[in-house]
Amino acid sequence: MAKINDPSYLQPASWVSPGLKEAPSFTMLDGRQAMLYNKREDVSSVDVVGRGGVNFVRNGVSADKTFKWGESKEMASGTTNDGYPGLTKTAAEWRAFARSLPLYGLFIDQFLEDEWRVPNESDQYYAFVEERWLMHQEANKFNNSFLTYGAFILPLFRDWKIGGVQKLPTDNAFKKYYGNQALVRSDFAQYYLPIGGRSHSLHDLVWSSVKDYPQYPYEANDFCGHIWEMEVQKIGGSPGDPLGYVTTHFLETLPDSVNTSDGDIHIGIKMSRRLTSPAGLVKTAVHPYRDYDQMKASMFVMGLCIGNRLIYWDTPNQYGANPNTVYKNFGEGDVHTVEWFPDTPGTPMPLPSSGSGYPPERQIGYDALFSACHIYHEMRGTAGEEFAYLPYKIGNGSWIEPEADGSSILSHATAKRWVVMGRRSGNNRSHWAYNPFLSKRRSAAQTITVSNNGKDYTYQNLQGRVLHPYNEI
Amino acid sequence: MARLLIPVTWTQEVNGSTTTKTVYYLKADAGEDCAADETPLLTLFASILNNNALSVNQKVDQLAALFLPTIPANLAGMFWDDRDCSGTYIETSDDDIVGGNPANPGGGGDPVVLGGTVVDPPNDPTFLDIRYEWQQINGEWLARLYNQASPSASGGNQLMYFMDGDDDPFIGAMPNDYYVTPGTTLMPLLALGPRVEMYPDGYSRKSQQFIYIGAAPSS
Repeated sequence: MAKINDPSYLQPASWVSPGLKEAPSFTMLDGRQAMLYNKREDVSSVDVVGRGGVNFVRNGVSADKTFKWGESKEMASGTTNDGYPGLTKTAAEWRAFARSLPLYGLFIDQFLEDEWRVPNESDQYYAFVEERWLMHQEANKFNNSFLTYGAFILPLFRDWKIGGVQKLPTDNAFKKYYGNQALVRSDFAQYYLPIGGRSHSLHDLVWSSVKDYPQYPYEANDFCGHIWEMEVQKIGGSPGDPLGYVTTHFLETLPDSVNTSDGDIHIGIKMSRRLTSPAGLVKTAVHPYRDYDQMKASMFVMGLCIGNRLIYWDTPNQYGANPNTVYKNFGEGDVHTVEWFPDTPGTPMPLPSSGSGYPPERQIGYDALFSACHIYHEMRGTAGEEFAYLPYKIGNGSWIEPEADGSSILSHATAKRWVVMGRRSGNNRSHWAYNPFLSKRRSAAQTITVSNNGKDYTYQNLQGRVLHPYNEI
Repeated sequence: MARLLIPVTWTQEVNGSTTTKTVYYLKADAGEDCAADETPLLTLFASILNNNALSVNQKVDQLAALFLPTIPANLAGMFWDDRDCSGTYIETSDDDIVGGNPANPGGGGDPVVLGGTVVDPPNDPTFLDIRYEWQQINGEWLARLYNQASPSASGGNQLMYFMDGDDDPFIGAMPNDYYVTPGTTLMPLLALGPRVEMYPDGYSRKSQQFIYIGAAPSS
């Protein structure tokens, strides 16, 4: 069984995304789609499409290749009203807003935020998504549109708490949905059922997704919890439904300081980088980074194995590729403050002659996305099959069998152990193992044996919090 | 199968200084050519890290000819796998890694990409200044991470090291036995604050560093 590694074009020393420029072009099978932002000034967005399996780009491409992140503030000039100002607009105005937008490759919105925010339960939101659905019908195009990211009307993971009370992941509050589509649809009727005399449910008009914006360096519970969200959504939906995984690269809530922060989430931490010519150190304020391996594993598992739309949110800022320039701060509103410490005092800050300069932070989320897509593509020998939980054992322990009702993620989360999934097509086999609970330290490594449809494979000293993907083709 | 020996010079940087230079000999199966319409026998899927001069899927002898003039002075590592005439991967017991000794941090004997170690400079070297040193333990090269800085806590605060995603941080000091295998990426975060919970209570000080532990030195 061959291990699938990161693509060789990824370079840990680089703060730009090599994948945007160097990833080979391929098409991911099984209807999987990935999307991102073109963060490089030296690369045409048109050229990014197709690289590394990427289907859509947020900026600089035609509408049919665009991954559109809709914002309510695009509807009209700003307002400062509290609550849901978008409710002051009529359903007809929301329909007109829908008609003002072209048909995109993929559309997802953040209409629960910004000036004209509206709740998903409202007639206004329904009017918008129904109008978009009608536009696709009229154009005879597939409606690749998604419900507001992080929507409250979908099953939401809250650290395995129900009403603020801590539960085990295997509690019936979470387990009861497995094998029970009717219960999912009734408990989350605002999405799955037509309500209030409407002719459609929201599920008829827009697809669902999960939002994974980790708040802490420890992501194990988030990993399992968001898989639970996705599995419940799959049960509530129909086979083959698009299912999105929305994520980003930073830890969202790490306030900078009790002395200087008022809780603003958009300030962070400083990262440093050495320049060689001119020699010096540059420090930039950024959000704290997520762990690369945990990010990659989540993107691969949730974005591509369990879900089928890997959606990466970022700002549309683009950067230069010359490491001997520093990021040019654009003034008020730009959180990436820059400090320059030249080895030779008096050396001016090497700002770029044009453009934004080298990134203020590592573009490591893009590395994670390209690696996730690369791994999925390498598993094309088993394309057409669904990934399923596999039996495995740790060391010489007993076999850990998948739960018959499909709720293995709950028992794995409760036992804080490996998650192992795989698939087989003919003589080809693909599988992966990941333990979000196990430290990366050498002393924590474990040997596991995986049983993939009649063949057993033993892997020595697997590292925790690192995705281990394997292929036999 | 014949063996082809190719000398390679490999340098290792530790904390910015070159400390080791070792000559390796690459082993490659020099098999027979496939038929004209087949994939060359035992083509090497090769990649010299930080050098893109080579293309993949070239015959052994072609590849060997390319190796010698193109090996970079600071070769960080390389890997390859073996394929038969149909292009099918052949699992071998060979150590298909150069610049990585021991072989595979993930186990399983499969090739893994290992480049040079990268440690971003610290933002606050009096607080968090992560460094590493190689140690060979039971025949296995491991990198031990440590904080060169000696931060202290006061005023009811405590130091908390979030090393690699643990539910609970290391309190007070970084463990002195934090070893990782080659190929490990880390983003340790050190926070000074009143308690472990991060939100909404902020920290009076915090710092983070990116680290990639690349290929191990030679034994």
